[in-house]
Formats: sequence, structure tokens, C-alpha cells
Amino acid sequence: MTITNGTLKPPETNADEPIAAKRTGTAGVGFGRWWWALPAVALTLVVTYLTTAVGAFYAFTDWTGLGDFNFVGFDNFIHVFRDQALLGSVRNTLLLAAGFVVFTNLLGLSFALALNRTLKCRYFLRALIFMPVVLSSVAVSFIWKFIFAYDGPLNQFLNSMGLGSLKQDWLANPALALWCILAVMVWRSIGFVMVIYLAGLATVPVELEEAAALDGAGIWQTFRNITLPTIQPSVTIATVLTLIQGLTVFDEVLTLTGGGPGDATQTLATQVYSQTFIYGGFGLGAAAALVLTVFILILALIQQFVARDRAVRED
Amino acid sequence: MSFVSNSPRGWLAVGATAVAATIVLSGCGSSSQTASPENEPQTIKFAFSQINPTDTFFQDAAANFEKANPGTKIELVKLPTETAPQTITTQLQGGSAADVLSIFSGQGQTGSMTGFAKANLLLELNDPEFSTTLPKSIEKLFKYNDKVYAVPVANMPAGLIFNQAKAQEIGVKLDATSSFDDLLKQCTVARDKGVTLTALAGTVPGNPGILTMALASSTVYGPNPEWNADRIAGKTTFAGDKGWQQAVGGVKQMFDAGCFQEGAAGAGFDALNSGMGQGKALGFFAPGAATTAIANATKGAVNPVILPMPAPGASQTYLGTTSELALAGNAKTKSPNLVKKFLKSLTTKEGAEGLAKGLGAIPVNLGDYQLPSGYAPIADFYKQDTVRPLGYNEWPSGKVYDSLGKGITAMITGQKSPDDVLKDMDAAWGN
Amino acid sequence: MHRYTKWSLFREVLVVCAAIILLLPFWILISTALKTTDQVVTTSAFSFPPAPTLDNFIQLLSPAGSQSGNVYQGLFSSLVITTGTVLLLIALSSAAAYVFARSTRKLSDRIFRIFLIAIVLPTQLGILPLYIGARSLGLVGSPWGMIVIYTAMTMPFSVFLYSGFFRRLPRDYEEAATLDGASRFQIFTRVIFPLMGPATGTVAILSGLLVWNDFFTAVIFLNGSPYMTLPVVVYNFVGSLVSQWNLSFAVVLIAMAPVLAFYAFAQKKLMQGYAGGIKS
Repeated sequence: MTITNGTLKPPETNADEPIAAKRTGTAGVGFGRWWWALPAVALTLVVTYLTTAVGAFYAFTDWTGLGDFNFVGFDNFIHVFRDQALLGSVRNTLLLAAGFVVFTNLLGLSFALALNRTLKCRYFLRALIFMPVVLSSVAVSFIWKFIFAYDGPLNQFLNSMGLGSLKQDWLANPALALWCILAVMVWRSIGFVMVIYLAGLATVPVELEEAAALDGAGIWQTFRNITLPTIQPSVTIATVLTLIQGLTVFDEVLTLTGGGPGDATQTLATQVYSQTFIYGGFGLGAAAALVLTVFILILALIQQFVARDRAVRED
Repeated sequence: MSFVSNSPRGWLAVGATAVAATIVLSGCGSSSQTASPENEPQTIKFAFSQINPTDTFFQDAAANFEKANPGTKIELVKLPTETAPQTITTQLQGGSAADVLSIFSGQGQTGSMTGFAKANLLLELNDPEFSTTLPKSIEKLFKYNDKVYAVPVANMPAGLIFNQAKAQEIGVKLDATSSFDDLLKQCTVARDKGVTLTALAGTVPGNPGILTMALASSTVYGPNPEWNADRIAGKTTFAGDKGWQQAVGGVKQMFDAGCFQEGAAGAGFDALNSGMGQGKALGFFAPGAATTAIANATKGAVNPVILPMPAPGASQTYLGTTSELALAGNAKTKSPNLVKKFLKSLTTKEGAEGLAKGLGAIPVNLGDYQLPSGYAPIADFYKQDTVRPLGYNEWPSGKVYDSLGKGITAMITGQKSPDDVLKDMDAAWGN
Repeated sequence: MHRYTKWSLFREVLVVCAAIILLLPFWILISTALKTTDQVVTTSAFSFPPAPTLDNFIQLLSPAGSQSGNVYQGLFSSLVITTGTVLLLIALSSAAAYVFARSTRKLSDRIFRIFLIAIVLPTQLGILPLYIGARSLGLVGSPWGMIVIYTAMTMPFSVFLYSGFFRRLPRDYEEAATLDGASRFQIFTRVIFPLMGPATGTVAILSGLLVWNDFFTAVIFLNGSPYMTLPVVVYNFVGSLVSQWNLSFAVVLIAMAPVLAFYAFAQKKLMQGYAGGIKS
């Protein structure tokens, strides 16, 4: 249907439906009224587009949320890329997003491959691994906050293994806190990515794999030459979705570290929140949000081009 | 018109209607409220937060007022402490705030008075009683454009909340006359006995913040009470001021001497209360009300005192005090007269002392008020007037104090030098 | 090829081990919630309490408890807001998607693109203007406002999902119904919509979970109001409990319970919902 080589595009009219059908279709068959779409379109235009446009407008002002404002040109953007804390949050965002894409996809694909066929308790295991996906990120983050606490389970475990020297104040160590957040994000999303790959793997023809096995291809070769090309759309979709999710991470950071220690784990989304809603620097917050939006739009565009390019080559 | 007809007019209509809907939806609805003073509603809402869950001083004050004024009713709304300032800010802006609100005086924090007053969100307290009961030293924290917008709840010293009994038991010697070097030495003594001298909540910027402010009372605001005015005038900066370097450097020295518990950078507020309750820590830095709070929370098992913070390289120790807790009226209240009457009842000698007693603090007009027992070590500071209001309540925005607190945590986790912290504060100040 | 071999057994053991490690946090969650405050400090976090206690839950849920009001209120608001959003969303997005799917015009394709782009637009930039707009309309802190906002936020994806399903539906249904003299509205509500069961299920599951678990929007629009949803209640509550982990985890478990119960019954549908939402 709508996902061809992982591109989101408007579904075209069914190919096996001849043009003639349209003509007969208009003759007297009722296909709803155009204004049925109105509430949905209006709501999306107002709540998504208008607000985003107004937000982009604020990014060029010094509004504090109360009273008047002045235009300040690109000052806010200069501030975002000059201020150490804000620049750090840009870096953290990109790092988290990249790490999130790599680890969720590797682990999600591994689990999908392992749980695709044969295993006896595969349905049960799938259900268990998927479980964190349906739960509130705030709720599960609290479990991890406890696990990472200085006198928490992780350090207890290290102690009992005789690895007391590795004992850490995990979430307060600027070198490690970001990785802890990443670990929680990955843990939460493995099941989600696994399900996408399972859906892709279901389309891999068993005969092809068997033929390859008969030809003496090893597991890796079969995967490389048969499985991976077939699940390419799933790879693209999973990558794009995890990338967007990684770029906008908020809940886990706020609950685990609150952006600390210092500003070591601030991301663009948490900075938008604190600059706007805590410090009342609406202009600066909007500028940070605009940077985030531009990141995402650029990535979406690149992805569209790559996918289109591939589609063209394959034709 | 059929959807599938070929006329483009249908889609034009979609566009036009969407635009119209946009204009209607985004248009600002404004409504003016004018309540006649004679028969305004006699029920008001009072939204507040209290750090200590067992505190009842606001509840008591409301009950006393209701008793003294039959026919009036004060509905209490208790907000979660950590998020209360943001909640109140949001509600005031959204027009859904209660009639009476607990806020902060001055302008140095989220939920401070000046920002609200500037945006005309607060009720002007124009009766003479409000200005006459306001002590000169803290007047500017409760006024904007020479008009009073809030009443102080109480005054509190800020210092080391200290379990003297336990300290003596294990041989840690610290009192109001100790020097900064004594303090560093005692940190080691305590550490050898397996306890921490002062617990620190590194994840809550206000805690490392108040510790540094307590040091700065001696190194900055003691010698120069007008330091904030100088900073506003651009005559000095945080990074370029020797007193600030000493204050932030002092925290670093304390960290290096092992004054804080392990895992301090990642600790929350609970590390303070439970650390002291369980005897793992001898003390922590906080406003004086914490002495009462700890005594209540441990049911009298721990009765802390408050000690002034000696500072490095300062000839004289000054005691930092704060009058940041304040109450204000919502400009949109339907009962402005009742709100003022209630707030006025809290500025009287009786009202103020009632609040102070319940909070474990002292009234802003000290008079003959009997200091709480935990305040004994600092009584002389009040007599000799070696007290200084904590500077941050006058800083231009919450960002500066926040960057101090966060900066200290970054410093003890090795991300920043004391100089970096001060430079960040200058950057947050702007100009 | 897909016989159960030694290699399969090895994989099975490996995956089970990995799953156990992945699920360890839930074990810690449950065992800690069943401990007394003393046991949390004195016993290993991995150990199950020798005498599990339900005191934490009783303290939280008994009507006399100081916080039970918040917990019930959170449950109630989450339920109202989620149900309201899902119903409104299904009504509006299915109608819109139907119109787009059956249109053959260029302009309709272009308008459809509005939804596609909206899927990838992050909420951060628009959240403040949205907040200001909602504020001036008095929608901040109200469950109705949240329903409208959440409906709008989940709209692009569900229009996208629905239109995929509608496009694959042959037009014979409408033609037959027209011959029977049914009106357009009747055709849609009586004939077409009931055929969309799987699509409606997917939309309901995806948007329902998204709204139920949402924190970012809820904390901005509802914090401090009497209509805080469960994630906000849990966030405030755990913050105020200052590391009484047994009580905190009891709250977390209570908040998770409805979704976990739903998941236990409908996990297959749920996973299909996610997979189908992305690749139907």
C-alpha cells in the first residue's frame, strides 16, 4: 500500500482500477461529502501548522511570555549555538538519536531474527519483550532511576560480583549519565523495533531461504543476500521512526536526570521545555525548537530522496 | 455538490473555511471582570505549597481568619512542592489561579513576584497597613514600581542545619564561632567516624545554591551589602569578584575535604531529610525552618540547631537570611477586598507570629519575638545586625540562581572550574 | 529447514536469558512495591520480600489515604481523556480519510500531503503557541481542551492509516448500496465503516496508548489542575515521596495496571496494531 521502499507517500489510485471506473463512479454513486474532511483538515491546520508557524515567528523575538516583545533577528539562534549549555544539548540530542537508532535496530533485529520461527515459546517471548513499549515512559523511567541510584540494585550487583571498584553514581557522572539514558531508551524500544522487523521477516519467502541453504550458503550469507534485501522497507521505517523518536526524547531525560548533572544531559526537547516554561524565555525556547524541527525535516527529506533514488534504480 | 465533481470550488471552500476557523480559533477571547466591592463573594481559594508535609501554618492561619470573620470561607488548595512555582505561574497566566497564592518575593526565582506584577497579574495591596508593616531592609522585594504586591510570610536564617547532639557524641566540634578551616577539619573527623558532615542534594539546584549563598553572605554581601546594585550598574561581575571566587572556591574546598556524602551530585531532597534522620549525615544547608521540620519528622529524636556558615578568607562571618516566602492576591479575584483583608490579618503582630511559629521561622518585624530553640547559636547575629538578605532574590531572573546551583553540581562532577561557574552566572544575568 | 535442532535449542536458551535480563526491572518493581520501608533499605533489591505486604497499595488506595484522591482522579481523567480522544479521532479521521481515499482529484492529493508532513513535524515548536491559544479559549486545564488537542495531534497518522485501508476497499460496496437507495451518510456509517474494523482497532490502540501514556503535553496543559492524567500524577507523586521507593513503585504499578491488564488480553492485537500501523 502506502509504504514503498519505506517512503511515506500518498497512496495512488488502485492500479487495477481502470480509469473508466472513475467515470462510472461519478455517475450516481455516493462517496461521502467533501465537507466530511473539513474538521480533520481544520484541526490539523490550526493545531499543527498554525502553531508551528507562530512558534517559528517567536523564534525571532525576545518575548518572555508576558507583555510586549521585540524582533531580535537571528540573536536567539546565535545564542543557541554560542551558549555552552544549549550547544551541549544539541550535541547530546544528536548523540542520543544516533545511538538510539544503532542500538535499537541491532537489538530489535536480533530479537526478531531469533523469534521469527522455530522457537517453542516465541509468542510468549515476543509478548514479554514488547511489554515496555505499551507502558508509560515516566513510570518505567522511575524504575531505572532506582536501579541507577547510588545505593541501588546496579551497584549492589557490582558489589556482590566483587566489582565494587566499578561502583558509580551512574546518573550523576557526566561521562556516564547520557549512556544510562540511552540504555533506558533502547530498553524501552527494543520490542517496538522487533515487531517492525517481524512484520518484515514474515514477507521473506521460505523457499528462497531453503534454496540458499541447499546451495550451501551459510547463515550470514543467507541473511546478507536474501533476508536483508527483502526487509529493506522495514529497515528504513524502523530507522526513520527511531531517529525521530531519538531526536525528540524528553520523558526519560526529565525523569532520570532532569538534564543534570549540571547540564550534562540536556537535550533540545528538555531545553525547549525549561527555556520556555521555566525561565520564560519564549523566544530562545522557540529558537531551540526550530533547530530541532529543521533537523527532523532535513532528515525526513534525505530519507525521501534516498528511498526515491533506490526505487528508481530498482525499476 | 458532490465530492467527486470536477468543480474546484469545493476545495476553495475547504480552504476558506479552514482559514476562517483558524481566525476564529486563534482570536483572543477577552473578558472583563468587574466585581462590585459591596457584595463580592465571601469564599476565596488559597493555593500554597509547604516543604514539610506535616506543616499546618497556612491551614491554621486560614482557620483563624474564618473564625474571626464569620461568613467567610477560605478553600485550601495544596500544591506539590517541587512543581508549585511552575504550576502557579502557569495558572496565573492561564487565568485559572486561586485568589490567594504562595509565591516568592523579589525576582530571582521561578514564581517570583516582580515578573507577575510586571504583567499585571497580581492584586495591588494599596492599603497603608501593607507598606507600614514592611521593614525597610526587605521593602524592595515586595514592591514593584513603588507599589506593594505581596506580604512576607516570615524571615529565616540560612545556614547549616546541624545535629549538635550526635556531633558531640562522635567528637565533631562545630559551633557558631568555628572558622572555615575548622569546618574542613571537622569534615574529616566526621568522615573517619563513618558519617557525613553535610549532606548535599546535587540534583536540586536550590540546595547547592543556598550553600554557596550562605558562603557569599560573608564573602560578598557582608563587606558590600550593595553588591547587587553594583552588578546591575555593571561595576562588577561574578567572575571578576574576589568574594564570589572565594564563595564558589569554598564549596570546591569542602568537596575536596570530603564534607559531602558519596553520591552527593546525584542525590535529591530525600538525601537531606533521611540522611539526617538516619544519622548518616550531621547536617545540611537550608533555611532555618528545616530545624523544626526535622524535629517534627523524627518526632523529636533529632533536634537540630542552625549554625552560621563560616567563609574562607573572610574576616567576619555574616548570617544569610531570606524573606522569600510571600503571599499575594490574584489580580483577577472576584473578592479583592476579602483577599486584602485576609492578607492584612497576616501582617499584624499576631498573624505574623502565628505563621513564624508554625514554620519554625521568625516574623519580619522581630520585636520581642522569642527565637525558636534551634536558633540559639545565631541569636547574637540578629542582635549585632550581622545579617544579610540572601542576594539572589534581587537577581534579574531565576536563570542566574539556577546556573549557580547547576554549576556547583557540574563543578563537583568535574565538568566545570569555579571560574566557569561564575562566568555562566554572568552570562545568565545578561549584559 | 525449520526443524527444531540443537542450534534452535541454543537460540531458545539464549533468547530466554536475554529476555530475563530485559525483564529484570519489572521484577525489581514488583518485589520492591511489596516491601516495607525498612526492607527496602535492608534487603537486596533483587530479593523477593520474605513476607510480602500489600500495605503500600492499601495506603495509596484506601479512601482514607491522603493521596488516594489523586490516584483515583488521575485514573478517572486518563480514562475520560483517552476515551474521548479515541472516539472523536475515529469519527473525524475515518470520515476525512474516506473522502480523500475516494477522491480522484489532484487537489485532494495535495491536501492529503498536509497530513503526511504533519506526521513528522515535532510538537515542540508549536506547543507554546498552542498553549497560548488554548489559554485564551479557556481550554488549559480542562479535559475537553485536552481531548481536542490530543485528537488534533493524533489526527495525521490516523488519517494516513485509514486511507490506506479505504483505498484497498473495492467500490462495489458503495455501488450496491446506492442501488438499494441508501444515502451517502448511510453508506458510510452502515456499510463502509463497519468493514473497517481492523483499521479502527489499529487507530484506537495506537492513539489510545499514546494519549494514555503521554507526559509532555499533559504536564504542560494539566499540571496543577484537577484533571491531571496518570503520568502527571505519578510524576508529582514520586517527586513528593522523596525516594520512598516501595510507595513510589506501588503508584507506578497502579498506574501501569490498566494497560498491563489490557495487554495481557490483547497483546497479539496490540503488537499487530503497532506493526500494522507502520506497515499494513
